[in-house]
Amino acid sequence: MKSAELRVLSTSDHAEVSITELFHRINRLLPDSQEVLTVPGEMLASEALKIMRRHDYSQLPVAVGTEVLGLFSYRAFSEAVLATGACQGNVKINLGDLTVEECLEKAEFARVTDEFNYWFDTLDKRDAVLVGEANRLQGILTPMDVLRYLYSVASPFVLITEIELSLRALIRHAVSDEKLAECAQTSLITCYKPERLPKSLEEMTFHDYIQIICDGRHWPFFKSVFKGSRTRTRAKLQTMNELRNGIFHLYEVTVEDYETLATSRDWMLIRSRAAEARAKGGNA
Amino acid sequence: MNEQSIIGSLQSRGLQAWQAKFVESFLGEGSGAFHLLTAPPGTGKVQACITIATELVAREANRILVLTSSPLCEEWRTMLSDVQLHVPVFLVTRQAYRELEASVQVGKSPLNARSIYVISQDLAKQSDFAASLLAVSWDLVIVDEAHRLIAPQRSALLARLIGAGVVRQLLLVTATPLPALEKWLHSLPGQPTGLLAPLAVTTWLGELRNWDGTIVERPRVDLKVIPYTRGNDEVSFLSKFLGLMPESENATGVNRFLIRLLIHRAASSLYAIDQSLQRLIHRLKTTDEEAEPLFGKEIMDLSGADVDLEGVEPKTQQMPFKRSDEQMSLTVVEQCLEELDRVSTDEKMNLVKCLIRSITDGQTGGVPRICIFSMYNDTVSYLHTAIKDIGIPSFKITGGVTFAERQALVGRFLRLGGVLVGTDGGLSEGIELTEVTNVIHYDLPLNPMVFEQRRGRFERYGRETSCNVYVLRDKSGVLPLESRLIESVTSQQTEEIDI
Repeated sequence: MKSAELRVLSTSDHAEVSITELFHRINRLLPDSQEVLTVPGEMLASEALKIMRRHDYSQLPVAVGTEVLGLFSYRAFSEAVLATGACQGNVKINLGDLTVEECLEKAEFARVTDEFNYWFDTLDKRDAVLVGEANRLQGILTPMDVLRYLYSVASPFVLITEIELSLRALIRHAVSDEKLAECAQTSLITCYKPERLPKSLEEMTFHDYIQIICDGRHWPFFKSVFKGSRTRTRAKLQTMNELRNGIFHLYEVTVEDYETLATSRDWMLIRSRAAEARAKGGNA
Repeated sequence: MNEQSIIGSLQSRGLQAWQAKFVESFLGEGSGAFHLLTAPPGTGKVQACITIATELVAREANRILVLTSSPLCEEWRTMLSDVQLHVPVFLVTRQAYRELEASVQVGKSPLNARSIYVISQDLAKQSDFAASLLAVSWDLVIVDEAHRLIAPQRSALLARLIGAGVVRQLLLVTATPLPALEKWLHSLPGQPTGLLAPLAVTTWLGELRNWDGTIVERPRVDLKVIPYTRGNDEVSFLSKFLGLMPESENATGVNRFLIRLLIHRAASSLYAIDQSLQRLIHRLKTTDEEAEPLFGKEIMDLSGADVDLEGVEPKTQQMPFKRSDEQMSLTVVEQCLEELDRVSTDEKMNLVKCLIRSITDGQTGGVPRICIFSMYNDTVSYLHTAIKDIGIPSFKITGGVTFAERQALVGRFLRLGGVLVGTDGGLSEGIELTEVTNVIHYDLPLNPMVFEQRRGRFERYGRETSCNVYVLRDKSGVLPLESRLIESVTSQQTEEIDI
């Protein structure tokens, strides 16, 4: 778990000067690996379409040198074709001669510091917003970039919910309510005042679950559910707990953290399926 | 200021004699433009570089550039900030760069302010970054881990910077001995006769002398091998696991890398291989369409050849995604996991716990300072969880936290004593563990240079106390790779002890 990456420091006090980077602005949505491809105005539209297909792009900025003239897209192309046909009545035209300059649509430019919700309407209408200025293109933002970003922000919360709920279900599967209360009495007594000792799962924290499951005195009840060794189970649950705490403290989730979460969720799912199958009399 | 007074001033600032001599020669009148410092880990080369940067800033240097590997950028930024240079220190990432770019007039380089810029070598080689670097002049360019420049794309950027005449002084720094670099130095693109000539080479690989002229002795470190035997269930799992893995020699591309990674992780800990297999299952079940939004195209496109398995902290996210006909099948991975579920012992872990108890019991007064190294985050998490039973303070450190946080954590460990478990990435350059009295190599890196880096953390020049270092040898010999790695760091004279 990496605390939010504020990268610009002042030397005098180590203060992180770019607090605005914490906000969900366009700069955070642009993929770091993005390399914007531009095409010259005189390129044939057919050639540009091939490039779009090859790279799986829906549009390409058209530029002369560093000056962006506009956007070439499937929509701009079809509109240009319609317009050309309308001008020429029923005369058959050679679409192969069309250049991208003849199929341009106006590009709108956002700043890296803009909040992305401001550009929703434009993204809806045009499928892309260019980032930077006409003579300094810094990136291109598409609805997929927004969707991916929002998904990456939201999905850790979804995964953590699944993990926690399935862990509760597995505990219930392994021990009865009475047994759980007994286990809590043994494992959590040093953590709580007697009158505050939690008895039900809903009252307990994730850390409490770990204390109960991985207590050597209780492991025999849980071993058939979690399999493997107690220490490995404890390390897995501990890692989940650390990630859970990090997520709820709003630390930035790295790709590695995300994968660990997803894998933990899968592990829980496998354990849940096996437990259900056993309950139904299967051999899992 | 004459040579003697400069050296005197450097001594008063805590530099060692060899560091001061180098700094003086770099800054002195008549110093050449291009320098190479090749020095083993633990000799303090970063401190020397920072002193040079400090001096140049004091002499009104306008702009300094530090090019280093991505994991070390944060450390350089923190260390430079710590010395209060009175100029801003920028760690330039892609996002930070876009903001800098948006804040200057079109046509001006975003890197034009009087500052120190720390940029990863991978980012710097990208076309827009390279153009910005070429558009301004640099009073000093420090290239850390200069041996990485052997990659043609990286040396191409350096050649362009020098060719454009924008570098006033260049300092190449590496722990790699000179012979390995010579070929590269004479083969920079377009400059076969030596672009960097005359290159002033300083090496700290030989004898180093103290301020009083005496020869510096490498600190006394006693390497000991502790034998143990993995449990029957562990041996059974590992034998079946190796049997299920295709022969890595016969594998190609992604699979070749993957098999090596899995076997090395199995040698590290049962938890590390458990987590790797779980991740592999997740990846094999995830479609590219589901994975790409989260992992990004860059990771999705990784092939085995792109991945640095021998780096300081091979990340599981580097596990390639690419599907291929020869990709290990889901069935094989699931079979491995089923076998692993049957393993309930971990004799290596038990041995380490015994060793920690034995060190603690033998300690007279206070809590000992024990450091455990591993290549992998997963093993570190596992160890950290397991040793909590022992009841002495324990600390976990990986490359995933900022350098400042790591420094603070190491500070607490040194104050309180206990066990510090860390990856090679977490306990990297800039972290000094001279007060650690016992070091346990829970696993061994594939790359001997990474092992040298580890040694550099605690076997620092100038260290006065002795240090016990342990490697763990499984007598079952079930993992030949593990046995080979142990052989590579031990000799016939290495003492074998029982706990």
